[in-house]
Amino acid sequence: MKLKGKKQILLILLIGSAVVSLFYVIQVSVDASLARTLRHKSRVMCWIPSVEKWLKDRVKAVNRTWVPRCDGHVFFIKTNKTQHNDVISFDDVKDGREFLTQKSVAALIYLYRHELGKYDWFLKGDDDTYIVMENLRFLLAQYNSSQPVYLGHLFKKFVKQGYMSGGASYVLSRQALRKLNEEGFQKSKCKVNGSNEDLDIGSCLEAVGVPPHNSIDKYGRSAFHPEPAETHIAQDAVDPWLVAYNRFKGAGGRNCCSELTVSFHHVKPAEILVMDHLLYRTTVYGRVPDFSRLQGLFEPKTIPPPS
Amino acid sequence: MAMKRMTCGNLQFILGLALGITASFMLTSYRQMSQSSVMVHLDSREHIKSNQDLHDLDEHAFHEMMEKNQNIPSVGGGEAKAVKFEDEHAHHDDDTAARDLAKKVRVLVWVMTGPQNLDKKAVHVRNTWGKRVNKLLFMSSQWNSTFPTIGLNVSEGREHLTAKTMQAFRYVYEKHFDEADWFMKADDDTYLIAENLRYMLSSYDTNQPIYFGHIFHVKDMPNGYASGGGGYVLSKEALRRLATQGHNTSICRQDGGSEDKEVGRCMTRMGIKLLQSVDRLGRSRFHCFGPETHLQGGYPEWYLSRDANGAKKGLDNISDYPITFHYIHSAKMYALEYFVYHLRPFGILSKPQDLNLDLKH
Repeated sequence: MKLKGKKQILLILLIGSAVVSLFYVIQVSVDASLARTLRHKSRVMCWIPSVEKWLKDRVKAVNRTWVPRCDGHVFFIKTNKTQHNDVISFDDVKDGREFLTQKSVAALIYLYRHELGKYDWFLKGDDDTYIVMENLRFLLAQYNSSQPVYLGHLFKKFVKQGYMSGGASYVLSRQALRKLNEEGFQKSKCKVNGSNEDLDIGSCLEAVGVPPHNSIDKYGRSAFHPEPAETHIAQDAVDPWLVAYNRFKGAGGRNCCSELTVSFHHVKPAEILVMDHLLYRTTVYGRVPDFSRLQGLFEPKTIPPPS
Repeated sequence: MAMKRMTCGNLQFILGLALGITASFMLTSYRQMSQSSVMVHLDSREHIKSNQDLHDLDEHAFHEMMEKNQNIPSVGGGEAKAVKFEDEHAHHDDDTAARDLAKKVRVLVWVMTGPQNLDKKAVHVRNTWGKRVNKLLFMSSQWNSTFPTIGLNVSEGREHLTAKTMQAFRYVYEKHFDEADWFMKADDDTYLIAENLRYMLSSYDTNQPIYFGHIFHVKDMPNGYASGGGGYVLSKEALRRLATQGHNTSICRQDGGSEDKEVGRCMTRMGIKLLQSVDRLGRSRFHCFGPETHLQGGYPEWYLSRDANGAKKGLDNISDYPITFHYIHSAKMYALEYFVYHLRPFGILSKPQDLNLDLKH
């Protein structure tokens, strides 16, 4: 039957949309809709300090796996070897252990000046850290980024309220980053040189009133880890100095690590790729995780200093 | 008049189809770019510095080297402690489909071990993947009623692996033939994902004389053989033949040589076919090494010259439903268990994929 004008167009569109839906149905083998709703709730900026010699393996590994899952990212590397626009080089900050704090301060000032309005959360990662971004967002969804929030693996030494391990990666809310800059760096209240960047930044955060917040789940398992998974799981394998620093005792074995773990540290580049495959590709036939049971896994609260 | 009408109708249909196809391509490429689970492509020309010494070792020497350099994380430098991996109170997966399949496709796995390895290796198998097979047996040269292990009439040592294997299969045939549909050999440093094994086997008939594993090709064995390290699994008919005809020394070598090659020769002589075990996308499921080796390459020479599928590497060459990994030492076994069965990226759901080979062509 010959159709006229509008009806003709309508029929074409109908057939077109039928084909589109068919393609859609066939294409989807991963349902990421739940993960995606979380993504829109909190925009995370990941910043990773590194050095030129690690460009080819460590930086490459993280850049191909978890870094693209951040909403924004920047590498702070002193180099002219790359033209990438996600690499920032501070010419007046030298490489080396003694300059780690200086580098982090420069990074945090840079982020305050250029990225504060665009993101809700600022994650410091290392080039040998693996981050499960979806689990980070799950944890962050319970916190308010306009409050001063500070998350990570808590050490109890040297700072009364404690400080987060740099290697295990730590997260600052937008308000925390603002306070750090406006009340800390700009008022010269904080140590800006040294080799223990996590301790120095943590000390500054205490000085400007940003308390540490909880990332231990209701089964007593932590989300941020200063060592690789196999070290934490194999009992008695963690260095005693590390154990002595931990604010919370934590268990070895299965209870070391939350089901919604966020980070592992000291992960070699090959292992970074392995973890990505095991988490996002390797599937167990016939088992479907029930994410609804994980609501309320982490209790959102500040951690008071030890009495 | 009639011709003209038909052409008009066809034109509308073709236009609609073209519009739909264009829109779909645009939509799916947009989805791929913005999806939170990122497709990562490893540059296969990348050259990670491989240990040249490791590269040139032959298979036996390579195995010895792997045994020695396991890099087990521990403060004292000893073995990793056994870890209990129960998680029922915290962990709720919906595994109905997996459990249904376990009833239909029953798998018996016997693990090659020895008295000196019970606490170092076998216990970690028992604490992790061993729980998920239908029946698990540990084959040793000594009986141990508490572990438990079965004492075969063999001496320990790599020179006697063939005898151990032959006797193990015979034992399984005599005592446990009716308890399973498929019979698998694994090492005590193999990691097995039983659900994915069952998924692959569900396409096949266990009354056929067939077996599966990671396929190697060598000149004097054109039909190939299954790598011992990657694990291999026999159908009921294959086991029946091996157990009843395997005594015959003109068919099967009783001891010595390489266990996997000898079993392979045996199978060929008894008319048992080694079938392909890659998935529909040509990606490997049985693996001779750990995931990091298969992802980044740096394979030793003996693997490069033997692998039937071109010794591929990288993210796109391992199946989403892998079945085994090998050279997995204790602490890594728990780490694998944790990553495969416990740690989850929140909100990412993998739907069932149709990855078995299409057998109907």
